[in-house]
Amino acid sequence: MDTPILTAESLVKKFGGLIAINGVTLSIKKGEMVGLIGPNGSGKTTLFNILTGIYKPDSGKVFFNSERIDGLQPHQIYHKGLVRTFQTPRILQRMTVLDNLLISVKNPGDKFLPALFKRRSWLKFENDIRDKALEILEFLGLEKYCYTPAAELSGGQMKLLEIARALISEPSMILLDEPTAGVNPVLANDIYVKLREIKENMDITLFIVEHRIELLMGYVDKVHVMHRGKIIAEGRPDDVINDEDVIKVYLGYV
Amino acid sequence: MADPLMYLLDAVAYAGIFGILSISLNLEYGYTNLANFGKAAFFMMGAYITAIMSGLKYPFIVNSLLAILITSVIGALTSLPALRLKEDFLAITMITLGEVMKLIIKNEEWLAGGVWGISGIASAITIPGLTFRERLIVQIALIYSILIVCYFICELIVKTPYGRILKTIREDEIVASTYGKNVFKYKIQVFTVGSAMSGLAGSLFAQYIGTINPYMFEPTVTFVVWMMVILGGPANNLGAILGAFMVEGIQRASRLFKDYLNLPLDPVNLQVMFTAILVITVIFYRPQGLLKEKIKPYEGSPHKIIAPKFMEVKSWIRRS
Repeated sequence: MDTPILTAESLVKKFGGLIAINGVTLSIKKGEMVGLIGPNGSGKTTLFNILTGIYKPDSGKVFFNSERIDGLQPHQIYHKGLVRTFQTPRILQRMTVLDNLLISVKNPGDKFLPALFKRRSWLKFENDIRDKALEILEFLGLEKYCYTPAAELSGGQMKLLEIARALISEPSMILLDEPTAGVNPVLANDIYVKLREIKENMDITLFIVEHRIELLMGYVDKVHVMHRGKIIAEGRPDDVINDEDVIKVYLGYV
Repeated sequence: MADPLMYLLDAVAYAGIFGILSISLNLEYGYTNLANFGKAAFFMMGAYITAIMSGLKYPFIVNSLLAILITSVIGALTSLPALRLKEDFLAITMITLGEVMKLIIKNEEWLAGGVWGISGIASAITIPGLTFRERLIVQIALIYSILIVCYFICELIVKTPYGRILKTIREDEIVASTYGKNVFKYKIQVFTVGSAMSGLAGSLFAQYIGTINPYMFEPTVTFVVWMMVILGGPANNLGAILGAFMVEGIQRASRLFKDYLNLPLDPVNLQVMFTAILVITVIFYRPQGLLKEKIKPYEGSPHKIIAPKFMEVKSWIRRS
Protein backbone atom coordinates (compact mmCIF):
# COMPACT_ATOMS: atom_id res chain seq x y z
CA MET A 1 0.00 0.00 0.00
CA ASP A 2 2.88 2.34 0.57
CA THR A 3 4.14 2.65 -2.95
CA PRO A 4 3.43 6.07 -4.42
CA ILE A 5 1.08 5.98 -7.40
CA LEU A 6 1.44 9.62 -8.40
CA THR A 7 4.48 11.75 -7.76
CA ALA A 8 5.06 15.31 -8.84
CA GLU A 9 8.51 16.80 -8.55
CA SER A 10 8.98 20.57 -8.39
CA LEU A 11 6.40 21.43 -11.03
CA VAL A 12 6.43 24.95 -12.41
CA LYS A 13 3.89 26.46 -14.78
CA LYS A 14 3.82 30.07 -15.86
CA PHE A 15 1.21 31.93 -17.86
CA GLY A 16 2.98 35.03 -19.04
CA GLY A 17 4.03 36.78 -15.87
CA LEU A 18 1.76 34.75 -13.64
CA ILE A 19 3.38 31.84 -11.92
CA ALA A 20 0.41 29.54 -11.52
CA ILE A 21 2.32 26.59 -10.16
CA ASN A 22 5.48 27.41 -8.29
CA GLY A 23 7.44 24.31 -7.41
CA VAL A 24 4.80 21.82 -6.39
CA THR A 25 6.11 18.54 -5.08
CA LEU A 26 3.71 15.93 -3.87
CA SER A 27 3.38 12.21 -3.62
CA ILE A 28 0.21 10.20 -3.34
CA LYS A 29 0.26 6.64 -2.17
CA LYS A 30 -1.66 3.87 -3.80
CA GLY A 31 -5.17 3.42 -2.42
CA GLU A 32 -5.23 6.73 -0.59
CA MET A 33 -8.01 9.24 -0.66
CA VAL A 34 -6.35 12.62 -0.69
CA GLY A 35 -7.85 16.08 -0.60
CA LEU A 36 -6.50 19.25 -2.14
CA ILE A 37 -7.77 22.52 -0.72
CA GLY A 38 -6.81 26.12 -1.12
CA PRO A 39 -8.21 29.54 -1.92
CA ASN A 40 -9.58 30.35 -5.35
CA GLY A 41 -6.87 30.93 -7.87
CA SER A 42 -4.27 29.05 -5.91
CA GLY A 43 -3.54 26.71 -8.82
CA LYS A 44 -5.48 23.57 -7.93
CA THR A 45 -7.12 23.17 -11.28
CA THR A 46 -3.95 24.12 -13.10
CA LEU A 47 -2.19 21.38 -11.19
CA PHE A 48 -4.86 18.92 -12.34
CA ASN A 49 -4.46 20.11 -15.89
CA ILE A 50 -0.75 19.47 -15.71
CA LEU A 51 -1.15 16.06 -14.15
CA THR A 52 -3.56 14.97 -16.87
CA GLY A 53 -1.52 16.36 -19.73
CA ILE A 54 -3.78 19.22 -20.79
CA TYR A 55 -0.96 21.64 -19.96
CA LYS A 56 2.70 20.89 -20.20
CA PRO A 57 4.70 21.97 -17.16
CA ASP A 58 7.49 24.48 -17.76
CA SER A 59 9.70 22.38 -15.57
CA GLY A 60 9.40 19.49 -13.19
CA LYS A 61 8.43 15.88 -13.54
CA VAL A 62 5.32 13.80 -13.03
CA PHE A 63 5.49 10.09 -12.36
CA PHE A 64 2.52 7.79 -12.44
CA ASN A 65 3.14 4.20 -11.36
CA SER A 66 6.85 5.09 -11.65
CA GLU A 67 6.43 6.01 -15.30
CA ARG A 68 7.11 9.53 -16.41
CA ILE A 69 3.92 11.04 -17.77
CA ASP A 70 4.64 14.74 -18.12
CA GLY A 71 4.77 15.63 -21.80
CA LEU A 72 2.40 12.85 -22.76
CA GLN A 73 -0.85 13.61 -24.52
CA PRO A 74 -4.02 13.47 -22.39
CA HIS A 75 -5.26 10.35 -24.16
CA GLN A 76 -2.00 8.55 -23.46
CA ILE A 77 -2.25 9.43 -19.80
CA TYR A 78 -5.79 8.05 -19.74
CA HIS A 79 -4.50 4.73 -20.98
CA LYS A 80 -2.05 4.63 -18.08
CA GLY A 81 -5.08 4.68 -15.80
CA LEU A 82 -5.40 8.30 -14.71
CA VAL A 83 -8.65 10.14 -15.36
CA ARG A 84 -10.13 13.38 -14.11
CA THR A 85 -13.37 15.29 -13.87
CA PHE A 86 -13.82 18.95 -14.57
CA GLN A 87 -14.78 21.75 -12.28
CA THR A 88 -17.27 23.30 -14.67
CA PRO A 89 -19.01 20.22 -15.99
CA ARG A 90 -17.89 19.40 -19.49
CA ILE A 91 -20.74 17.23 -20.57
CA LEU A 92 -21.51 16.27 -24.13
CA GLN A 93 -24.66 18.28 -24.65
CA ARG A 94 -26.10 16.76 -27.78
CA MET A 95 -25.66 13.18 -26.65
CA THR A 96 -27.75 11.07 -24.33
CA VAL A 97 -26.72 10.75 -20.70
CA LEU A 98 -25.94 7.09 -21.28
CA ASP A 99 -23.70 7.90 -24.24
CA ASN A 100 -21.94 10.45 -22.08
CA LEU A 101 -20.91 7.59 -19.88
CA LEU A 102 -20.15 5.05 -22.54
CA ILE A 103 -17.60 7.18 -24.35
CA SER A 104 -15.20 6.92 -21.47
CA VAL A 105 -14.76 3.17 -21.74
CA LYS A 106 -12.25 1.44 -23.96
CA ASN A 107 -14.51 -0.20 -26.51
CA PRO A 108 -13.52 -2.65 -29.25
CA GLY A 109 -15.67 -0.55 -31.59
CA ASP A 110 -13.63 2.57 -31.01
CA LYS A 111 -11.43 1.92 -33.99
CA PHE A 112 -12.60 2.56 -37.51
CA LEU A 113 -12.39 -0.87 -39.11
CA PRO A 114 -13.53 -2.98 -36.14
CA ALA A 115 -16.47 -0.59 -35.70
CA LEU A 116 -17.62 -1.34 -39.21
CA PHE A 117 -16.67 -4.97 -39.64
CA LYS A 118 -16.64 -6.51 -36.19
CA ARG A 119 -20.07 -5.47 -35.08
CA ARG A 120 -20.64 -8.57 -33.03
CA SER A 121 -17.66 -7.96 -30.79
CA TRP A 122 -18.61 -4.41 -29.85
CA LEU A 123 -22.33 -5.06 -29.63
CA LYS A 124 -21.65 -7.69 -27.01
CA PHE A 125 -19.30 -5.37 -25.18
CA GLU A 126 -21.89 -2.60 -25.30
CA ASN A 127 -24.48 -4.85 -23.74
CA ASP A 128 -22.23 -5.67 -20.83
CA ILE A 129 -21.01 -2.18 -20.24
CA ARG A 130 -24.50 -0.70 -20.46
CA ASP A 131 -25.63 -2.59 -17.39
CA LYS A 132 -22.71 -1.22 -15.48
CA ALA A 133 -23.44 2.27 -16.75
CA LEU A 134 -27.03 2.01 -15.59
CA GLU A 135 -25.89 0.78 -12.23
CA ILE A 136 -23.69 3.84 -11.79
CA LEU A 137 -26.44 6.13 -13.02
CA GLU A 138 -28.84 4.56 -10.60
CA PHE A 139 -26.53 5.20 -7.69
CA LEU A 140 -26.25 8.85 -8.64
CA GLY A 141 -29.98 9.09 -9.22
CA LEU A 142 -29.67 9.70 -12.93
CA GLU A 143 -31.06 6.45 -14.31
CA LYS A 144 -34.35 8.08 -15.28
CA TYR A 145 -32.49 10.41 -17.54
CA CYS A 146 -30.39 7.86 -19.31
CA TYR A 147 -31.91 8.61 -22.71
CA THR A 148 -32.28 12.34 -22.15
CA PRO A 149 -29.98 14.64 -24.08
CA ALA A 150 -27.42 15.68 -21.51
CA ALA A 151 -28.07 19.36 -22.22
CA GLU A 152 -31.42 19.02 -20.45
CA LEU A 153 -29.87 18.09 -17.12
CA SER A 154 -29.58 20.60 -14.32
CA GLY A 155 -26.21 21.93 -13.22
CA GLY A 156 -25.95 19.56 -10.28
CA GLN A 157 -26.94 16.59 -12.38
CA MET A 158 -24.26 17.48 -14.90
CA LYS A 159 -21.79 17.40 -12.05
CA LEU A 160 -22.96 13.93 -11.12
CA LEU A 161 -22.66 12.84 -14.71
CA GLU A 162 -19.03 13.92 -14.67
CA ILE A 163 -18.37 11.68 -11.70
CA ALA A 164 -20.25 8.80 -13.28
CA ARG A 165 -18.14 9.16 -16.38
CA ALA A 166 -14.93 8.97 -14.41
CA LEU A 167 -16.13 6.00 -12.38
CA ILE A 168 -17.14 3.81 -15.28
CA SER A 169 -13.75 3.83 -16.93
CA GLU A 170 -12.25 1.91 -13.98
CA PRO A 171 -9.02 3.82 -13.71
CA SER A 172 -6.41 3.25 -11.05
CA MET A 173 -6.65 6.89 -10.02
CA ILE A 174 -9.26 9.63 -10.38
CA LEU A 175 -8.65 13.33 -9.99
CA LEU A 176 -11.93 14.90 -8.93
CA ASP A 177 -12.25 18.64 -9.37
CA GLU A 178 -14.90 19.77 -6.88
CA PRO A 179 -17.17 16.74 -7.17
CA THR A 180 -19.88 18.25 -5.00
CA ALA A 181 -20.07 21.82 -6.29
CA GLY A 182 -23.73 22.56 -6.94
CA VAL A 183 -24.91 19.29 -5.44
CA ASN A 184 -27.38 19.26 -2.56
CA PRO A 185 -25.89 18.49 0.88
CA VAL A 186 -27.48 15.06 1.30
CA LEU A 187 -26.32 13.88 -2.06
CA ALA A 188 -22.92 15.45 -1.52
CA ASN A 189 -22.55 13.31 1.56
CA ASP A 190 -23.74 10.27 -0.37
CA ILE A 191 -21.15 10.97 -3.03
CA TYR A 192 -18.40 10.94 -0.46
CA VAL A 193 -19.71 7.74 1.07
CA LYS A 194 -19.69 6.21 -2.37
CA LEU A 195 -16.25 7.56 -3.19
CA ARG A 196 -14.96 6.04 0.01
CA GLU A 197 -16.63 2.79 -0.94
CA ILE A 198 -15.08 2.91 -4.38
CA LYS A 199 -11.71 3.61 -2.91
CA GLU A 200 -11.93 0.66 -0.57
CA ASN A 201 -13.56 -1.90 -2.84
CA MET A 202 -12.14 -1.08 -6.21
CA ASP A 203 -8.72 0.01 -5.08
CA ILE A 204 -8.91 3.35 -6.83
CA THR A 205 -6.80 6.20 -5.59
CA LEU A 206 -8.69 9.47 -5.32
CA PHE A 207 -7.33 12.99 -5.39
CA ILE A 208 -10.05 15.53 -4.68
CA VAL A 209 -10.24 19.28 -4.94
CA GLU A 210 -12.97 20.43 -2.61
CA HIS A 211 -14.25 23.54 -0.91
CA ARG A 212 -16.63 21.78 1.47
CA ILE A 213 -14.00 21.37 4.10
CA GLU A 214 -16.13 19.71 6.82
CA LEU A 215 -17.26 17.10 4.36
CA LEU A 216 -13.86 16.47 2.88
CA MET A 217 -12.09 16.22 6.22
CA GLY A 218 -14.41 13.47 7.35
CA TYR A 219 -13.49 11.15 4.54
CA VAL A 220 -9.97 11.73 3.31
CA ASP A 221 -6.77 10.20 4.60
CA LYS A 222 -4.61 13.17 3.86
CA VAL A 223 -4.94 16.77 2.77
CA HIS A 224 -2.70 19.08 0.77
CA VAL A 225 -3.21 22.81 1.00
CA MET A 226 -2.23 25.04 -1.88
CA HIS A 227 -1.65 28.75 -1.82
CA ARG A 228 -0.25 30.87 -4.64
CA GLY A 229 1.01 27.88 -6.58
CA LYS A 230 2.71 26.23 -3.63
CA ILE A 231 1.83 23.47 -1.25
CA ILE A 232 1.88 25.19 2.10
CA ALA A 233 0.76 22.31 4.25
CA GLU A 234 0.09 18.63 4.03
CA GLY A 235 -0.82 15.93 6.43
CA ARG A 236 -3.71 14.32 8.26
CA PRO A 237 -6.94 16.35 8.18
CA ASP A 238 -6.85 17.11 11.90
CA ASP A 239 -3.33 18.46 11.74
CA VAL A 240 -4.00 20.56 8.68
CA ILE A 241 -7.11 22.14 10.13
CA ASN A 242 -5.07 23.37 13.06
CA ASP A 243 -2.14 24.56 10.97
CA GLU A 244 -1.64 28.31 11.45
CA ASP A 245 -0.76 29.07 7.84
CA VAL A 246 -3.79 27.22 6.58
CA ILE A 247 -6.09 29.06 8.92
CA LYS A 248 -4.58 32.33 7.81
CA VAL A 249 -4.90 31.88 4.05
CA TYR A 250 -7.89 29.69 3.71
CA LEU A 251 -10.01 28.76 6.66
CA GLY A 252 -10.05 32.14 8.31
CA TYR A 253 -10.08 32.76 12.03
CA VAL A 254 -12.90 30.83 13.55
CA MET B 1 -34.18 24.12 -72.18
CA ALA B 2 -36.85 23.07 -74.47
CA ASP B 3 -37.86 19.99 -72.60
CA PRO B 4 -38.88 20.73 -69.01
CA LEU B 5 -38.59 17.07 -68.08
CA MET B 6 -34.96 17.06 -69.17
CA TYR B 7 -34.34 20.09 -67.04
CA LEU B 8 -35.91 18.32 -64.10
CA LEU B 9 -33.91 15.14 -64.67
CA ASP B 10 -30.73 17.17 -64.92
CA ALA B 11 -31.58 18.86 -61.62
CA VAL B 12 -32.22 15.49 -60.02
CA ALA B 13 -28.86 14.20 -61.20
CA TYR B 14 -27.10 17.29 -59.87
CA ALA B 15 -28.89 16.98 -56.57
CA GLY B 16 -27.64 13.40 -56.31
CA ILE B 17 -24.04 14.37 -56.96
CA PHE B 18 -24.24 17.23 -54.51
CA GLY B 19 -26.03 14.95 -52.09
CA ILE B 20 -22.86 12.84 -51.91
CA LEU B 21 -20.80 15.96 -51.24
CA SER B 22 -23.30 17.07 -48.66
CA ILE B 23 -23.24 13.72 -46.84
CA SER B 24 -19.47 13.79 -46.78
CA LEU B 25 -19.45 17.30 -45.34
CA ASN B 26 -22.06 16.22 -42.84
CA LEU B 27 -19.73 13.49 -41.63
CA GLU B 28 -16.96 16.04 -41.21
CA TYR B 29 -18.88 19.04 -39.95
CA GLY B 30 -22.14 17.67 -38.60
CA TYR B 31 -20.65 14.80 -36.67
CA THR B 32 -17.06 15.80 -36.00
CA ASN B 33 -17.21 19.59 -36.17
CA LEU B 34 -14.47 19.84 -38.76
CA ALA B 35 -15.03 23.03 -40.73
CA ASN B 36 -13.87 21.71 -44.07
CA PHE B 37 -14.18 24.53 -46.57
CA GLY B 38 -12.12 22.64 -49.10
CA LYS B 39 -14.91 20.58 -50.58
CA ALA B 40 -14.42 22.16 -54.00
CA ALA B 41 -10.76 21.10 -54.01
CA PHE B 42 -11.46 17.43 -53.52
CA PHE B 43 -14.48 17.57 -55.80
CA MET B 44 -12.25 19.05 -58.48
CA MET B 45 -9.50 16.52 -57.93
CA GLY B 46 -11.95 13.67 -58.35
CA ALA B 47 -13.34 15.21 -61.51
CA TYR B 48 -9.96 15.89 -63.06
CA ILE B 49 -8.55 12.49 -62.23
CA THR B 50 -11.54 10.92 -63.93
CA ALA B 51 -11.24 13.22 -66.91
CA ILE B 52 -7.53 12.60 -67.41
CA MET B 53 -7.88 8.86 -66.97
CA SER B 54 -10.84 8.81 -69.31
CA GLY B 55 -8.64 10.49 -71.91
CA LEU B 56 -6.27 7.56 -71.50
CA LYS B 57 -9.20 5.25 -72.28
CA TYR B 58 -9.58 3.68 -68.88
CA PRO B 59 -13.07 2.55 -67.86
CA PHE B 60 -15.05 4.53 -65.30
CA ILE B 61 -14.72 1.97 -62.55
CA VAL B 62 -10.92 2.29 -62.64
CA ASN B 63 -11.12 6.06 -62.87
CA SER B 64 -13.45 6.44 -59.94
CA LEU B 65 -11.47 4.04 -57.75
CA LEU B 66 -8.32 5.95 -58.59
CA ALA B 67 -10.12 9.21 -57.82
CA ILE B 68 -11.17 7.84 -54.44
CA LEU B 69 -7.66 6.59 -53.72
CA ILE B 70 -5.85 9.77 -54.71
CA THR B 71 -8.29 12.17 -53.06
CA SER B 72 -8.21 10.18 -49.85
CA VAL B 73 -4.40 10.17 -49.83
CA ILE B 74 -4.28 13.90 -50.55
CA GLY B 75 -6.99 14.43 -47.94
CA ALA B 76 -4.96 12.56 -45.34
CA LEU B 77 -1.78 14.43 -46.26
CA THR B 78 -3.38 17.89 -46.14
CA SER B 79 -5.13 17.05 -42.91
CA LEU B 80 -1.85 16.26 -41.17
CA PRO B 81 -0.86 19.91 -40.85
CA ALA B 82 -4.30 21.47 -41.36
CA LEU B 83 -6.17 19.62 -38.61
CA ARG B 84 -3.87 21.00 -35.97
CA LEU B 85 -5.56 24.32 -36.58
CA LYS B 86 -8.64 25.59 -34.84
CA GLU B 87 -11.93 25.74 -36.67
CA ASP B 88 -11.76 29.10 -38.43
CA PHE B 89 -8.11 28.77 -39.39
CA LEU B 90 -8.80 25.33 -40.76
CA ALA B 91 -11.59 26.83 -42.86
CA ILE B 92 -9.32 29.47 -44.37
CA THR B 93 -6.59 26.93 -45.03
CA MET B 94 -8.99 24.66 -46.83
CA ILE B 95 -10.40 27.47 -48.99
CA THR B 96 -6.84 28.28 -49.95
CA LEU B 97 -6.17 24.69 -50.81
CA GLY B 98 -9.09 24.77 -53.24
CA GLU B 99 -7.87 27.98 -54.85
CA VAL B 100 -4.31 26.72 -55.17
CA MET B 101 -5.49 23.51 -56.78
CA LYS B 102 -7.57 25.52 -59.22
CA LEU B 103 -4.62 27.76 -60.10
CA ILE B 104 -2.42 24.75 -60.70
CA ILE B 105 -4.98 23.24 -63.04
CA LYS B 106 -5.45 26.58 -64.83
CA ASN B 107 -1.77 27.10 -65.41
CA GLU B 108 -0.58 23.62 -66.23
CA GLU B 109 -1.93 23.10 -69.69
CA TRP B 110 -0.08 19.87 -70.34
CA LEU B 111 -1.81 18.29 -67.38
CA ALA B 112 -5.44 19.18 -67.75
CA GLY B 113 -5.98 21.55 -70.62
CA GLY B 114 -5.52 24.72 -68.58
CA VAL B 115 -8.43 27.13 -68.67
CA TRP B 116 -10.08 25.23 -71.52
CA GLY B 117 -10.50 22.17 -69.39
CA ILE B 118 -11.08 18.68 -70.66
CA SER B 119 -13.93 17.62 -72.86
CA GLY B 120 -15.15 14.36 -74.27
CA ILE B 121 -15.10 12.50 -70.98
CA ALA B 122 -16.68 9.11 -71.55
CA SER B 123 -19.76 8.48 -69.45
CA ALA B 124 -19.71 5.54 -67.09
CA ILE B 125 -22.39 3.48 -68.72
CA THR B 126 -22.68 3.57 -72.48
CA ILE B 127 -25.57 1.60 -73.86
CA PRO B 128 -25.85 2.11 -77.59
CA GLY B 129 -29.15 3.17 -79.12
CA LEU B 130 -30.55 5.14 -76.21
CA THR B 131 -32.13 8.54 -76.54
CA PHE B 132 -30.70 11.43 -74.60
CA ARG B 133 -33.49 11.27 -72.05
CA GLU B 134 -32.98 7.55 -71.46
CA ARG B 135 -29.29 8.11 -71.01
CA LEU B 136 -30.11 10.70 -68.37
CA ILE B 137 -32.23 8.18 -66.53
CA VAL B 138 -29.40 5.64 -66.61
CA GLN B 139 -27.10 8.31 -65.21
CA ILE B 140 -29.54 9.11 -62.45
CA ALA B 141 -29.77 5.44 -61.56
CA LEU B 142 -25.98 5.25 -61.32
CA ILE B 143 -25.64 8.44 -59.28
CA TYR B 144 -28.39 7.51 -56.87
CA SER B 145 -27.14 4.00 -56.30
CA ILE B 146 -23.79 5.50 -55.32
CA LEU B 147 -25.54 8.11 -53.19
CA ILE B 148 -27.41 5.36 -51.36
CA VAL B 149 -24.20 3.42 -50.78
CA CYS B 150 -22.55 6.55 -49.39
CA TYR B 151 -25.55 7.21 -47.21
CA PHE B 152 -25.43 3.75 -45.71
CA ILE B 153 -21.69 3.93 -45.16
CA CYS B 154 -22.11 7.18 -43.26
CA GLU B 155 -25.06 5.88 -41.27
CA LEU B 156 -23.05 2.79 -40.41
CA ILE B 157 -20.10 4.87 -39.29
CA VAL B 158 -22.07 7.18 -37.05
CA LYS B 159 -24.11 4.45 -35.42
CA THR B 160 -21.14 2.64 -33.95
CA PRO B 161 -19.03 3.45 -30.89
CA TYR B 162 -16.71 5.04 -33.42
CA GLY B 163 -19.42 7.47 -34.41
CA ARG B 164 -20.08 8.19 -30.77
CA ILE B 165 -16.47 9.26 -30.39
CA LEU B 166 -16.83 11.54 -33.39
CA LYS B 167 -19.75 13.20 -31.63
CA THR B 168 -17.69 13.44 -28.47
CA ILE B 169 -15.02 15.28 -30.43
CA ARG B 170 -17.69 17.58 -31.82
CA GLU B 171 -19.06 18.35 -28.37
CA ASP B 172 -15.81 18.70 -26.49
CA GLU B 173 -12.35 17.81 -27.71
CA ILE B 174 -10.83 18.03 -24.27
CA VAL B 175 -13.25 15.49 -22.87
CA ALA B 176 -12.51 13.19 -25.79
CA SER B 177 -8.80 13.34 -25.17
CA THR B 178 -9.10 13.13 -21.38
CA TYR B 179 -11.04 9.95 -21.82
CA GLY B 180 -8.40 8.33 -23.94
CA LYS B 181 -9.38 9.17 -27.48
CA ASN B 182 -6.67 10.23 -29.86
CA VAL B 183 -8.59 13.17 -31.27
CA PHE B 184 -6.10 13.91 -34.01
CA LYS B 185 -6.24 10.37 -35.34
CA TYR B 186 -10.02 10.39 -35.49
CA LYS B 187 -10.03 13.71 -37.27
CA ILE B 188 -7.61 12.47 -39.90
CA GLN B 189 -9.68 9.37 -40.49
CA VAL B 190 -12.89 11.35 -40.88
CA PHE B 191 -11.20 13.83 -43.14
CA THR B 192 -9.87 11.02 -45.29
CA VAL B 193 -13.25 9.37 -45.62
CA GLY B 194 -14.87 12.73 -46.39
CA SER B 195 -12.28 13.54 -49.03
CA ALA B 196 -12.67 10.15 -50.64
CA MET B 197 -16.42 10.68 -50.91
CA SER B 198 -15.93 14.13 -52.39
CA GLY B 199 -13.52 12.64 -54.90
CA LEU B 200 -16.11 10.06 -55.84
CA ALA B 201 -18.70 12.80 -56.29
CA GLY B 202 -16.26 14.66 -58.53
CA SER B 203 -15.68 11.54 -60.53
CA LEU B 204 -19.42 11.10 -61.06
CA PHE B 205 -19.74 14.75 -61.95
CA ALA B 206 -17.05 14.56 -64.64
CA GLN B 207 -18.48 11.52 -66.34
CA TYR B 208 -21.97 12.99 -66.09
CA ILE B 209 -21.38 16.32 -67.79
CA GLY B 210 -18.55 15.17 -70.05
CA THR B 211 -16.73 18.50 -70.10
CA ILE B 212 -14.99 20.14 -67.19
CA ASN B 213 -13.00 23.30 -66.76
CA PRO B 214 -11.49 25.02 -63.73
CA TYR B 215 -14.29 27.58 -63.53
CA MET B 216 -16.73 24.89 -62.46
CA PHE B 217 -14.88 24.49 -59.18
CA GLU B 218 -15.01 27.96 -57.71
CA PRO B 219 -15.25 28.25 -53.90
CA THR B 220 -19.00 28.71 -54.43
CA VAL B 221 -19.23 24.94 -54.80
CA THR B 222 -18.01 24.61 -51.24
CA PHE B 223 -20.46 27.19 -49.97
CA VAL B 224 -23.35 25.58 -51.77
CA VAL B 225 -22.52 22.28 -50.08
CA TRP B 226 -22.33 24.04 -46.73
CA MET B 227 -25.72 25.56 -47.37
CA MET B 228 -27.11 22.13 -48.05
CA VAL B 229 -25.83 20.73 -44.78
CA ILE B 230 -26.92 23.71 -42.71
CA LEU B 231 -30.37 23.82 -44.26
CA GLY B 232 -30.97 20.11 -44.14
CA GLY B 233 -29.69 19.61 -40.63
CA PRO B 234 -26.16 18.93 -39.48
CA ALA B 235 -25.64 15.48 -37.97
CA ASN B 236 -28.55 14.04 -39.88
CA ASN B 237 -27.64 12.24 -43.09
CA LEU B 238 -31.16 12.31 -44.48
CA GLY B 239 -31.22 16.00 -43.71
CA ALA B 240 -28.03 16.51 -45.68
CA ILE B 241 -29.62 14.85 -48.71
CA LEU B 242 -32.81 16.85 -48.22
CA GLY B 243 -30.69 19.99 -48.09
CA ALA B 244 -29.06 19.04 -51.38
CA PHE B 245 -32.47 18.69 -52.99
CA MET B 246 -33.69 21.96 -51.56
CA VAL B 247 -30.74 24.07 -52.56
CA GLU B 248 -30.59 22.53 -56.00
CA GLY B 249 -34.35 22.94 -56.36
CA ILE B 250 -34.27 26.59 -55.34
CA GLN B 251 -31.43 27.36 -57.68
CA ARG B 252 -33.14 25.71 -60.59
CA ALA B 253 -36.55 27.11 -59.84
CA SER B 254 -35.30 30.65 -59.42
CA ARG B 255 -33.45 30.27 -62.71
CA LEU B 256 -36.72 29.30 -64.36
CA PHE B 257 -38.95 31.86 -62.74
CA LYS B 258 -36.72 34.82 -63.22
CA ASP B 259 -37.85 34.87 -66.85
CA TYR B 260 -41.45 35.29 -65.82
CA LEU B 261 -40.93 37.94 -63.20
CA ASN B 262 -40.79 41.62 -63.95
CA LEU B 263 -38.71 43.07 -61.20
CA PRO B 264 -36.73 46.27 -61.06
CA LEU B 265 -33.54 44.37 -60.36
CA ASP B 266 -31.25 42.06 -62.19
CA PRO B 267 -32.94 38.66 -62.15
CA VAL B 268 -29.58 36.94 -61.79
CA ASN B 269 -29.25 38.47 -58.35
CA LEU B 270 -32.66 37.20 -57.43
CA GLN B 271 -31.42 33.63 -57.26
CA VAL B 272 -28.64 34.55 -54.91
CA MET B 273 -30.86 36.70 -52.73
CA PHE B 274 -33.55 34.09 -52.54
CA THR B 275 -31.12 31.41 -51.39
CA ALA B 276 -29.59 33.79 -48.87
CA ILE B 277 -32.98 34.68 -47.42
CA LEU B 278 -33.85 31.02 -47.11
CA VAL B 279 -30.62 30.17 -45.33
CA ILE B 280 -30.98 33.09 -42.92
CA THR B 281 -34.59 32.20 -42.18
CA VAL B 282 -33.73 28.60 -41.43
CA ILE B 283 -30.79 29.55 -39.23
CA PHE B 284 -32.99 32.01 -37.38
CA TYR B 285 -36.00 29.89 -36.74
CA ARG B 286 -34.58 26.40 -36.88
CA PRO B 287 -30.86 26.44 -36.11
CA GLN B 288 -30.73 22.65 -36.01
CA GLY B 289 -31.75 22.50 -39.67
CA LEU B 290 -34.92 21.12 -41.17
CA LEU B 291 -34.27 17.60 -39.95
CA LYS B 292 -32.97 17.66 -36.41
CA GLU B 293 -30.26 15.43 -35.14
CA LYS B 294 -31.77 12.45 -33.40
CA ILE B 295 -30.37 12.19 -29.94
CA LYS B 296 -31.24 8.65 -29.02
CA PRO B 297 -29.64 5.39 -28.07
CA TYR B 298 -28.47 3.57 -31.13
CA GLU B 299 -29.35 0.10 -32.18
CA GLY B 300 -28.64 -2.89 -30.05
CA SER B 301 -29.80 -1.21 -26.88
CA PRO B 302 -32.17 -3.53 -25.08
CA HIS B 303 -33.34 -1.04 -22.51
CA LYS B 304 -36.90 -0.56 -23.57
CA ILE B 305 -37.93 -0.86 -19.93
CA ILE B 306 -36.64 2.56 -19.06
CA ALA B 307 -38.17 4.29 -22.03
CA PRO B 308 -41.60 4.97 -20.44
CA LYS B 309 -39.90 6.38 -17.36
CA PHE B 310 -37.98 8.69 -19.59
CA MET B 311 -41.22 10.03 -21.03
CA GLU B 312 -42.46 10.75 -17.53
CA VAL B 313 -39.34 12.63 -16.70
CA LYS B 314 -39.56 14.74 -19.79
CA SER B 315 -43.06 15.90 -18.94
CA TRP B 316 -41.92 16.56 -15.42
CA ILE B 317 -39.15 18.79 -16.69
CA ARG B 318 -41.63 20.77 -18.73
CA ARG B 319 -43.95 21.29 -15.80
CA SER B 320 -41.31 22.69 -13.49
